[in-house]
Amino acid sequence: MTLIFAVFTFLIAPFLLPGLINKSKALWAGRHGAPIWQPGYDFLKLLRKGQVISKTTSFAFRLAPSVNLAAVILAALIIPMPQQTALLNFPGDFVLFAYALGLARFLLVAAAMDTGSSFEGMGAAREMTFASIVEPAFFMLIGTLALMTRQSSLSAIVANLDDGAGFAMLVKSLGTIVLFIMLLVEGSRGPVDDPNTHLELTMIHEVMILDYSGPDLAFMQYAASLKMVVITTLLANLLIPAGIGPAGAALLFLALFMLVAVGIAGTESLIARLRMSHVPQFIFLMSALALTAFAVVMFFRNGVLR
Amino acid sequence: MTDILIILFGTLMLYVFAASRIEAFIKTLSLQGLILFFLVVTDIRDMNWINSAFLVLETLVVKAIAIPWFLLRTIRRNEIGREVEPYISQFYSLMIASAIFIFAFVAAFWAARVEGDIKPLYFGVSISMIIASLFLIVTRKRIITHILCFMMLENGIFLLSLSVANEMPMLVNLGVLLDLFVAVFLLVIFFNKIQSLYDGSHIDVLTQLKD
Amino acid sequence: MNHLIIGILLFFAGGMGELFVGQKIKGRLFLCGAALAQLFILPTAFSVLLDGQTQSLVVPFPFPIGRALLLMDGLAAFFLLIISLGGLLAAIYSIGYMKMNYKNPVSALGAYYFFLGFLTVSMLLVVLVQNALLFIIVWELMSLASFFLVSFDNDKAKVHRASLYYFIAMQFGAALLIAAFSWASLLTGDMNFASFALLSGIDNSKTVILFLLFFIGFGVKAGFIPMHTWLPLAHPAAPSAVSALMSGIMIKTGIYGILRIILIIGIPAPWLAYLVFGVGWVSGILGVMNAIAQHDLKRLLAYHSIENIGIIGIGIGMGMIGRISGNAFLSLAGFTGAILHVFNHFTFKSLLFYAAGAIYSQTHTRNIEKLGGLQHAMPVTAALFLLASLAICGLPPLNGFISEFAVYIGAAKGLAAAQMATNLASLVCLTGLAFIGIMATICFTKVFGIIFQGNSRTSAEHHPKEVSGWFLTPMFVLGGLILVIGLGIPLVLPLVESVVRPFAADPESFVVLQKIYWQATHGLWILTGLILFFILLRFLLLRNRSVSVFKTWDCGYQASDPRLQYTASSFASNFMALVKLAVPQNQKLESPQGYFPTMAGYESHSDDIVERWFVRPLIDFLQRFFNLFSWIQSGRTQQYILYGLIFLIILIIWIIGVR
Repeated sequence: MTLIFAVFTFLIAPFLLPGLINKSKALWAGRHGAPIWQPGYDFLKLLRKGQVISKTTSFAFRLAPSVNLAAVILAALIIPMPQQTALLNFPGDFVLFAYALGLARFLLVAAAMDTGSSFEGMGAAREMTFASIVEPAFFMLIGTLALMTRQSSLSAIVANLDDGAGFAMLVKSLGTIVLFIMLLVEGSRGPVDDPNTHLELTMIHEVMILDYSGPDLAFMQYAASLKMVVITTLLANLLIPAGIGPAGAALLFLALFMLVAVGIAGTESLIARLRMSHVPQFIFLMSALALTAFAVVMFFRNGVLR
Repeated sequence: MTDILIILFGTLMLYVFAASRIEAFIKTLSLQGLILFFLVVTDIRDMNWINSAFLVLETLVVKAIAIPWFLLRTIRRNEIGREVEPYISQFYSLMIASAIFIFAFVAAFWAARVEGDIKPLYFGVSISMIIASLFLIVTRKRIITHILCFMMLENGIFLLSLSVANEMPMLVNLGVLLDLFVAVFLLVIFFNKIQSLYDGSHIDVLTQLKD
Repeated sequence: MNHLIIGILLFFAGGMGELFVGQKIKGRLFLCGAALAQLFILPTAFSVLLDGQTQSLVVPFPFPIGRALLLMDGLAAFFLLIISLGGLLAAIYSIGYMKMNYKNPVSALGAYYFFLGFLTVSMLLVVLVQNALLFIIVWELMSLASFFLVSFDNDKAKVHRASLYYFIAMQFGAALLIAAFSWASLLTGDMNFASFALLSGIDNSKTVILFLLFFIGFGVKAGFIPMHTWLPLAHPAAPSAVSALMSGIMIKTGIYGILRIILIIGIPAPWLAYLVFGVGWVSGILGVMNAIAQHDLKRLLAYHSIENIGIIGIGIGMGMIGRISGNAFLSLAGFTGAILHVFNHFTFKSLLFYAAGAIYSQTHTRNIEKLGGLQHAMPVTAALFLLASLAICGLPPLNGFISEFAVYIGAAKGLAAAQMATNLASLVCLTGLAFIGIMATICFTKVFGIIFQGNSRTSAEHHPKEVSGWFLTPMFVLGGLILVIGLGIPLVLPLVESVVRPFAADPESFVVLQKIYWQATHGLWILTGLILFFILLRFLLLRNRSVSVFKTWDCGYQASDPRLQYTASSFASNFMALVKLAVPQNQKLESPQGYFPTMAGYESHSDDIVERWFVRPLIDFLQRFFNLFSWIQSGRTQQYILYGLIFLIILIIWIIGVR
């Protein structure tokens, strides 16, 4: 079972997720759209190419794809699959998870600044600003879940989510919204960013990898998709109830996966990209919801509300 | 005999308040030294002879002769004539001087009643000497006057130490050393240097040294 | 213990001996003394850490100190390690720095090394003495020596002002410490620390006030907000080796003081634990927010020191909260995290300051807006700077992650505790640390990106080159420590056990913590392995491909210029707009006028709100108040003699009348 999940996470999902999103968006807009596996074809194509490197860059630019990918894969090893415990599982592993993604982000931004282009500087600055709101909110959410389940490792948290009274459902739904917004930000989807264009108005993630080509670009894009898969898995884990058997869990997971992809596509199609100065407010919604969830758990747990 | 000398000593102090010529100051200083010499000679009890010889020498030679002569030479060379108008005019200074004397004598007799060992006359005159000299320093404007008043202050302290010489012979020697210290340091170094920098030896320019 | 004394004396001898030799060998002589001292100090410290036996030595002093006890327990040994090593590295670095930045002959070079030795010796003694009077003496010596070192360049007005501000701040802290120590001695009747333990039995309100006095007094030295305002002034003003020494080690003596007080007095009231935690939290967050707004490299690093002291404060606070709520694991994890972070911060902050000194030596500016593209000229410095930046942001697999992880895991377990207050504090801790971490990342991506990457924003007269071995050796040593501790924490952890045991004496929790660290280290090794694997993979993939070099993609714009790059202020401006309330920006804008504008300008400057709303009004008020009395000092001797005269008369009246 673990093997199947591993294959899915690393070999199938990073290409399936963007493909599904693009296909859904296309259908929504009345087009045929690219095939679902297009990201996979692109990846293989890029791996076969040579590359052009800017002469302004130095070791950070060349190092970033490897470190980025390694860090995201490590993060993927910590996330539990439905009904499974993760490969890396110890109290406090959510810290390693978040900080590994932080390492990836640091190197990505360093690589962007390395090119000496103002486009990439702009994208780097915006990315860091949004991350500064996302990170504390994420920790607040995990803290809330840890408080609720009295566990401190992601696998253990996920396994124990259903213990507790009716407020568990409320917390889980709040957590789902929080993680969905996190998905939008980290994956650079709308309404935070527009992944289709490289115009100044919409540059955040896409622009940071503007100067990459060939295998480097393949690594970077794969890492970005894998990051989205990881967060989607976490999201799905929140919603899968504990009682159903492994096969049911797997099917439910797949369904949720596709639902998230369609949801992202729907959000992108229905809501225009927000004005840049309004984006932080949107992301702050995440913190507000996480804080609400925490308050709920605190007061239920300690008997103030019943 | 000693009582008359001491009263003369105190009167000289009053004279200083009224005087305005610097040479008068210096002559007073010399006279005071002479009086102290006589006091030492008549009042020696049981100090050893080295000590007493040293005291005699010091009062006669340094206080009465050497320092006044040196000062006189300096002011004649620098053509310093008179004291300028002090902060408190001389008329009122005299009144205050009388008040100081009265205060000092009251304090001396008060102390003599409490503490048996003090000779009230010595004590009163020396305290009045000290306070009066300080007062003069505060109200006069020329540096040379300050130095002279400081010497008179020392004379007062010397007198005080003589009055308790039985208990503390060391104190007398310390007073003498202080005198010598002033002689060397203040006169030679201080006055000549300042004289070369400023005309008229007014002390107002020294306020720039503040802070 | 005698070895330790020999080591201390060697440092001192190095500092004194070099006064008498020629310019060229002053530095080298001092370095010899420092290096020899390591041979005596390090083994002693390690042995105490490993076997947990405290060593002591009684030294007879003349009155009024009496017989003074020098005690080396785990805590002292740990700090001895840091101080000793830091002194050695500073000695190595100073040789290169002095040679490069000052024209021969360097005036006051002898004084510099003398005070360097003095500072190291006094810091070594501070962690050893157990007598209140001796402690104050050595503490003041330490402040004095560092003051002279900070004012090394004081022909520059700014340095002069900064060093005076620093001195006054230190005296303020020392005044509080003197008050606290005096009161404690009064209450217990004895000046030795051992007898202060009796204080916990006395009236609680007094002990609480004592604790507060100690905390604020040591906090001034450590740099907690709001006592931190001297740090951003003093660190840029000092020469880089001194900044590294001060930031990496000297402010930790403040932390040492707080830890020692916790050991001696305990925690008199529960709310004190929350106070320490709160102060640490605010220091961490406000410190790094201010750091993002700076464009002077060393001032930025100074604010980061405040942030890291805040993290240490959070650790100590969580540890104290664990103690008062009976949560053994939380207290262990909190204190372990704080103590590990003391060492880790020493490594990466010293490395950063050394790199900053190297940058300054080559470019003669600390303003990062003028720099750029230095990684081509100074690749080794750039790589080490990147390493230290990753470490200070707490990113795996380096040592910053390790120490923050301890506090995180403590907080995570704290969430499982029964008390609501602990849960709340744990969540605040988690969120705060996360926020601090991401803000540190913002700041250091900015700094690294602006200084080393891209192209140079101004053309320099002479091209920078890589710095000499004297600069690089201490940086390499520190970089090595960063990697070793990051990847090998299970080996290092037993050394910390004897330090933490007096704070949280639960051996079972320690075993649990060790197990967690082992598992985390597996994750870190996997990460490192993956990184190396992918580097190899990339290399293999590109071996037979065409890799060509061209200029950066500029969307076809032909008149591209290095000035078009993102500046530090623009990078930070997105974030600063969010935190306007905490770090207000003063902006001056001269808009372009007319159709063909000739001049336009923009200038922005960030304010430290503690400085602006707390310290400066206080100083202004004090100045106005004391100006009312300035007539007392008129400069006229006569007035002063009048004071003496009045006093004399009053004295005579009083003595005779009263008696």
